[in-house]
Amino acid sequence: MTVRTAELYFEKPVEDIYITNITPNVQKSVQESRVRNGIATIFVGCSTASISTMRHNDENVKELKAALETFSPSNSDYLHHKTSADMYGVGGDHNGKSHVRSAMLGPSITVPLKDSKLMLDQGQDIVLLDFDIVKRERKVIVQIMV
Amino acid sequence: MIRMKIKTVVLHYTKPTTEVFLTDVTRQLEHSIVDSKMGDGIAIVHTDCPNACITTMEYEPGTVHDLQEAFKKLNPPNGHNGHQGNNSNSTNGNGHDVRTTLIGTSITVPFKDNREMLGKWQKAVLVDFDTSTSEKRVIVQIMGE
Repeated sequence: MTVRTAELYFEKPVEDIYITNITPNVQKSVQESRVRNGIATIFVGCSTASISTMRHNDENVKELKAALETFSPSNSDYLHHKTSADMYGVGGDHNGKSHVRSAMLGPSITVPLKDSKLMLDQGQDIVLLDFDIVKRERKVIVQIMV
Repeated sequence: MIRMKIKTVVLHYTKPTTEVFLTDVTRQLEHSIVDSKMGDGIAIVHTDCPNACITTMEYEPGTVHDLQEAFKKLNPPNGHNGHQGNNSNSTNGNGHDVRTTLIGTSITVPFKDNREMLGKWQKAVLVDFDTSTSEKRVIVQIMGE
């Protein structure tokens, strides 16, 4: 049994939803772990982001954003805006939609490894979905086990 | 090479209402990891119920409410999508299959030095969509060294 933990950091260039293809970074962590066959758990430790897989291109990103709007519209008022102001003071957070989206999509995926390679189909990318409305650095944990 | 260890903990939850109910299971997850005495590894948090889900979120009344509203948009209580409100195609007529499929039944939480790596405000949550208050099982499978 071997467990290797890698930490990856990502910053986004916009103050709204941003979807980053992190496959090359995760693959690099797998190679550096020297684990040949096993599993890699990719996890984000926050409540306004998610990890998933998709074919990452402009068209798919656009369509995913449109799908998210159906159940978590940007122009809605969220109770979190009020409760966060009550809890934390100042003006509160205005990222209710970000919390809903993160809870819907989840914080983790687990991908099998063979010969030190992530077993993803060609065109299937691991993505970090940062739903928050402010720019902030995100830490992604890659827990590699054999 | 150190031999891999696996420990399974089964948790039981009964909700107090027939409405959609969210339960914070983080403390029991933490206890399960501590009791396993493993240093580093992963904890799979899974529910074996077809109308419940596991996810993570900031567990506070505002976000709980906002999420409930989003569930309604996914399949409205009076909508005509599948067996919602209609027993003919379902064994229980609670029609939350769309929600459970989208959210999923498990998460995997890494741990290091015997501590889960959840964020400061991030909690592991059982989302119970059942229209009955029947008990739900949450299975915590801990693997590591």
